[in-house]
Amino acid sequence: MAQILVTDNLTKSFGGLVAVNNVSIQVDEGSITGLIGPNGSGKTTLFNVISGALKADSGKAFFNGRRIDNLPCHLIYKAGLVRTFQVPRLFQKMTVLDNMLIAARGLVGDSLIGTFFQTRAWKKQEEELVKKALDILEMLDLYHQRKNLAGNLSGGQMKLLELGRALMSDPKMLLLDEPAAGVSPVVVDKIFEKIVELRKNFRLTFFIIEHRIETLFSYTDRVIVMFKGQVIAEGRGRELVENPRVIDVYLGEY
Amino acid sequence: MVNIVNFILDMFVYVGIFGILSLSLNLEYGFTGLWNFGKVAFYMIGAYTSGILTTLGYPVYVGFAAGVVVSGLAGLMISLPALRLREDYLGILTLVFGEIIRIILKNEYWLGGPLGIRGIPSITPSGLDYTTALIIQLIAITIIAAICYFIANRIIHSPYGRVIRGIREDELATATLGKNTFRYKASIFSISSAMAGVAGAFMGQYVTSIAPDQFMPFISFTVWMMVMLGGFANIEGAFLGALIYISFERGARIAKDYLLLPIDPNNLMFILTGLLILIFVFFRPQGLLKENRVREHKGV
Repeated sequence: MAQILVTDNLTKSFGGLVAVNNVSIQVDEGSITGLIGPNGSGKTTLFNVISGALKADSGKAFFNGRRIDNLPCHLIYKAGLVRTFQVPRLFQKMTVLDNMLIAARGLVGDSLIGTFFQTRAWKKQEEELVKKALDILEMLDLYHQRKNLAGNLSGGQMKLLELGRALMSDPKMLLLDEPAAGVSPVVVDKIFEKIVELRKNFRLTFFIIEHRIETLFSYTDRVIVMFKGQVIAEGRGRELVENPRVIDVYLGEY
Repeated sequence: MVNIVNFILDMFVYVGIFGILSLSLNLEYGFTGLWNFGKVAFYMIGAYTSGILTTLGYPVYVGFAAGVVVSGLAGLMISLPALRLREDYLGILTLVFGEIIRIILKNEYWLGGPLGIRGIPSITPSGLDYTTALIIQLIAITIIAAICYFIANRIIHSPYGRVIRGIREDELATATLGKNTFRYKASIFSISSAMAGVAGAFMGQYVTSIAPDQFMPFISFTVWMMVMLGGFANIEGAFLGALIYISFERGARIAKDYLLLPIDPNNLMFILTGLLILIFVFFRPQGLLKENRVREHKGV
């Protein structure tokens, strides 16, 4: 299987703290890969560096064979890599529907020229996008909230909306930072089932930070374990659970 | 006896001029979240560009067009370094920019020097009586304001308007959703500056003389007050805010002649507007009108 995301000795430090230390990982195209590790192990920083929110100190990252570690966020999005945030970063004073529409790819009306001179085109496009957005909202149980301001949603709904917003952008690969944190167990399964379905239907690749080991093991192909900025193990369910290092730093004795 | 009709016509001309300024600030701050404390700079650039050209003999419309273009370009130029800054520094930089332009104009004699430019040709033909001239001016500013309103209205109800609101809410999230936020900020800054430029160009020909000291930083803050009163991110509110502020200002000027106060009556205007702003900040910080929504979608 081809590798869609490759990092090569990626390093990022904040002052004296090396948050991501020589991380080299590969994510297979069309796979669902999990990323676990104790709090402060550098998972989110790794996501930030890959998605362009932070600049790496050294090392390289490739997406689809193209180097992305020096690109700004919006070009990484254009390449097809879209992320969500651990603490949802929604547009609080905009409606749920507008939050979805802003993420759509190839908008005619999001430039000034398009706004003024291609009115008919963007209005037509808008109607199609609204349908698509409502379908996604329906799937995420957010349809009834479509006209509400995003800032008035509950914590779990915010996570769902952020996932929906990422799906709206027709990505090739999604980086999901704890997509199921604060979401009720029924919906957690629903989210992950949806992820499996999306992978099957659109060959999307998922790279997911998640703390629920059982969930991860039942839905992911492979799990990467980070500790203190470094990758300490990777593999499939059983072998990881029995790995003494993983038990030591993450799972604990039982 | 003061001619009350002329007084009111003149007041509405100023509501138009300041309404455009407050509309342009609302596009920058209300919708995009850009802190511009130097609105007066672009107002001044528009007034001077148009004033200089028309006194040199160019037709008024050339002066207006040049005022719009030069202000817009100035906005674009300052936005290139400035918009990379955090919002508070952007505020400081724009404030200083206005003062720099004013001091340059005050010291360069070929640009008028401290006395400024006099005898700017007006858009009204000479020989008209004052009231008719005022009516023509009022019609002209209404048309200009309507054009600015149309442009702003189109912007805020389009996908582009959604992106600028996104930048205001969360710039990083907007960038990770594929928007080149810098380009959006620079373009909205230029458009708003161009609007301020046309307001300046209009004011120049209306008053027929401009001088650097007409463009104190106070003007920028006046425009901020109008935005606060009318409502953030509401384009109708921009004009409403201008109307309220100017009525207050003018009203205080009249009222002081009829009141016996234990204070210097000339300060009455400042006391009243200050009080008005305080009341708003405490009880209605979002302003009178609430934010314009992007679009109402059919059947949703």
